[in-house]
Amino acid sequence: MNSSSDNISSSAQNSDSKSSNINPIDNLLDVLLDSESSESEVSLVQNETDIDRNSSQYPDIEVEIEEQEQDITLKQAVEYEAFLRQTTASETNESEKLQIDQTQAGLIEKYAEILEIETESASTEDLADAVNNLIPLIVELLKYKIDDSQETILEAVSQITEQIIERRFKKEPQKMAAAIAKILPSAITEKIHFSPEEIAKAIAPELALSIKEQIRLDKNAISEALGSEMGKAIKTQIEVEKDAMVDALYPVIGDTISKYMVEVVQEINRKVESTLSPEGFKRKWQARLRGVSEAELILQESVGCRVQAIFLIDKDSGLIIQEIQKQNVGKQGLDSDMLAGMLTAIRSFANDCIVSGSELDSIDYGNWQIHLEVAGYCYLAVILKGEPNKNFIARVRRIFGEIILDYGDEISQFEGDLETVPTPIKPKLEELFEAEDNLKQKSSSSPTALLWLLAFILALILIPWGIVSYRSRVAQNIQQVTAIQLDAAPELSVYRLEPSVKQGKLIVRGRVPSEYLRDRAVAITQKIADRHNLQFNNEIITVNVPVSPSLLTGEIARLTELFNQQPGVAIKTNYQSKSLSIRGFILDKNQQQSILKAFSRIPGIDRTIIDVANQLPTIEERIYFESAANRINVGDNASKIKSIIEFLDRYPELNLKLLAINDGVGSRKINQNLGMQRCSNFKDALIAKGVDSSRLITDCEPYRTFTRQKEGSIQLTRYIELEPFIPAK
Amino acid sequence: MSTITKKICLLGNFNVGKTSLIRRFVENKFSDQYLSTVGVKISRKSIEIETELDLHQINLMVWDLEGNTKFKPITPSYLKGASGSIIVADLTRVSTLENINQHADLFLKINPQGTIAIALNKADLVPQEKLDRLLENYGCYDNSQILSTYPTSAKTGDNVAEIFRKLSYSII
Ligand SMILES: Nc1nc2c(ncn2[C@@H]2O[C@H](COP(=O)(O)OP(=O)(O)OP(=O)(O)O)[C@@H](O)[C@H]2O)c(=O)[nH]1
Ligand SMILES: [Mg+2]
Repeated sequence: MNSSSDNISSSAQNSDSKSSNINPIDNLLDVLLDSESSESEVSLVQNETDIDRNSSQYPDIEVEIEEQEQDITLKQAVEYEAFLRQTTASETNESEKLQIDQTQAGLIEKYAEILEIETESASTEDLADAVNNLIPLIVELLKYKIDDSQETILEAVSQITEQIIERRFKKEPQKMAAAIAKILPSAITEKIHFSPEEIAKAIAPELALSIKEQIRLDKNAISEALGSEMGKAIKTQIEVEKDAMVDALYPVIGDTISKYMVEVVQEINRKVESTLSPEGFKRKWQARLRGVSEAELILQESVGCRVQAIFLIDKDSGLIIQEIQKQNVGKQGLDSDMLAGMLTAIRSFANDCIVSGSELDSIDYGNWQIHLEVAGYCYLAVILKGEPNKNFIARVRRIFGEIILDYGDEISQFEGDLETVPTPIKPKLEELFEAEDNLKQKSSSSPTALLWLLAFILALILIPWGIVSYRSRVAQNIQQVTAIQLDAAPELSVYRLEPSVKQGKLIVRGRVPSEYLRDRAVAITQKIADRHNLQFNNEIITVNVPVSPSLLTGEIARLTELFNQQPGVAIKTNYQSKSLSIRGFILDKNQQQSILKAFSRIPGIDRTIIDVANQLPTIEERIYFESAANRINVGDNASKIKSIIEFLDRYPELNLKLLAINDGVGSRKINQNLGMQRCSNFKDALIAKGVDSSRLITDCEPYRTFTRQKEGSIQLTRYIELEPFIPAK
Repeated sequence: MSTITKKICLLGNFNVGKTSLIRRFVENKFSDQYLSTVGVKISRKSIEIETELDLHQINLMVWDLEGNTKFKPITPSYLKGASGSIIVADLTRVSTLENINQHADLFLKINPQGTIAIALNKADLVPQEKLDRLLENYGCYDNSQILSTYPTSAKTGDNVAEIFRKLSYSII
């Protein structure tokens, strides 16, 4: 306001320098009275008081002067005041003009009274005539009187001037108006120059009305008059107090920009439409598909966001005006004071150092974003997770705009005391949290088309791919299982059989040397194929492949080993000139058959000679002892020992068990001990003869008493016997 | 009890001990190492101040600004919105004492309503007689917005809390 009044006053000064404007005043006064400028000083004071009384009606004069006669008195007062002002201005003899003699003032009052009475009693026209006629006389009189007492006269004159003017106006309104009109601008100019506040005060209440009236009369006049100055005024205002201006404009700026953006987008749209490039078509197609305009398509930021916190921050100091935080942002919530301070410092820094005149509008940090909306005295920092979409930003701007509009003043007064912050700001900001919920739904509904399209495309790619990869995984699985099972069959393991799964078929390719092996492989594979509902394609061929000797002997050794693991089997195999001889013991006859089969299936073996016993051989030799003796008479038993050694040599696959039998004479304990000692002595004797100790085990602990059937030598009831056995492997 | 948040700034040439004073005030720590501040650092400390009317909780946001050097002036926009400032000078370097006025002018230009306290720091390095003489020369400012001048030491902690409290008291 100050600046604008400054402006007005300065322009007033400009116009006042044109001296030509003063002339009308002179003219008017010449008409009224012949006076000298020095004389008018005195009346200044009195007239000023008049004007003060009437000042509130100034505007009426100004506007309605052409229409209403009765206001002329006031008009006249203005003009007179202006005149006096001017004269004082030229003289600047302020001290003198204030000296008013009381007695003179009294005289003037009387003079005026007389005139008034006259005016009332006589008919107005007569009186006016009379006054008019009197004027020359008065002038003369005054001239004469001036020498005597200038001031008194002037007092008097000034008092009656009012009436004089009134008369004159009634008589010749047009003339008067013309005369006054000439001085009016400069009169007002003068007044404004001297006491701008007064004029402002006087005009203010009616200004709006006047403007309205003027607009009614001539629609464009006011805007034309103001238009040229408006730009300058706004500019000045921005220079003087930028922040206030920003606050004032903020609520509309958001909309303006959006409007502008829409235009920009439409322009882009037009361009796109006119482009017949493949891209143009593609975009068009997408837009049609999604049911949105291409403009939207270009602008759309489809990804949603989540508001974590909102801070309303004082722009200068960085103090928090209002904050809203969602629970558990960060670990203990954000330290809002520090955050606001730092944000403010960053803003200042960016504004100072990077680009002046532009604003920092967002800070990205990973998938966090701080979105900033700046107004005159404060700014809003919205801390978001994810990318805000344009609806959301529009909403932020709208709410912020409303806050500025309603509470801008309070915010600009903020001094750090949270209690001074208007309470409705908080719920307003909280709307943004709600907004976000809405938007989440919206954003999930608006880009549905896009999502569906994406899903469709993905499905096109992924489903076949998935099926293929699933199938191939299943196929691979079956292949593997088949290979393992084929390998697990001992007779097949040496041959390369390749299972593969293709188009619902389990194919096994490979070569085996015999019908039997082929059937084995088929049986195994068929089972797997049935289990997985696959058709079995047997591509195994039987060939008389030349068998590699090492492979053959290896296989023979493997099988021999395998069978020897089984209880009751102790065989030795010998392969020579395509025939295999098997020797040894197979106690179970059935087992002997299967062993024979197994060997005969080995390709490369044409003949199998089996020479196995189903029973273990026995050893008749017994070693006898003296009564109660445990010593062996090696000399006597030499032949027996020899034959035992021979037995062991003949049956290397068999071992011997030593068993002690006693005569039953004496205690059980003695006999048992005796048996053990006899066993161990005999074992030692055999070992001493070169028998491998591992082939001998003693089984002398059990108490075995010879059962006598007939009369016989008691000596033959104390002995050790030998029992061959197939050692466990 | 009311809680008010206020922004105050520390101003002064480089290496006078602004950061050290804040560190002493906020964390009650001191280090001989010199790590020049770059840009601005913000700290916070809550203090309670009792006036005749009320007990106030003041949340002080202390802005530690980069000290100015011959080549780099202080960034004025960091001063905006500050209620008060502590202007720091180094008693061992006369040039920093002579710059006090300049800093005060800058601060008051940006914050015409602001209040200033002056810390003549590193008082522990100056013998008493010299300190008295320096205080005489640089301790008086005839400006009502400059509260008073304190010889301070971030190292010993002398007058540190006092100057912050005094400033806080006058800005509420
Ligand atoms: N003896 C003593 N040394 C001090 C005191 N205050 C600060 N110092 C030392 O002065 C040096 C500078 O201190 P800072 O606090 O980093 O100075 P600054 O004003 O922040 O400097 P800039 O950030 O570069 O503007 C450091 O080595 C401090 O240890 C003090 O009171 N006494
Ligand atoms: Mg520092």
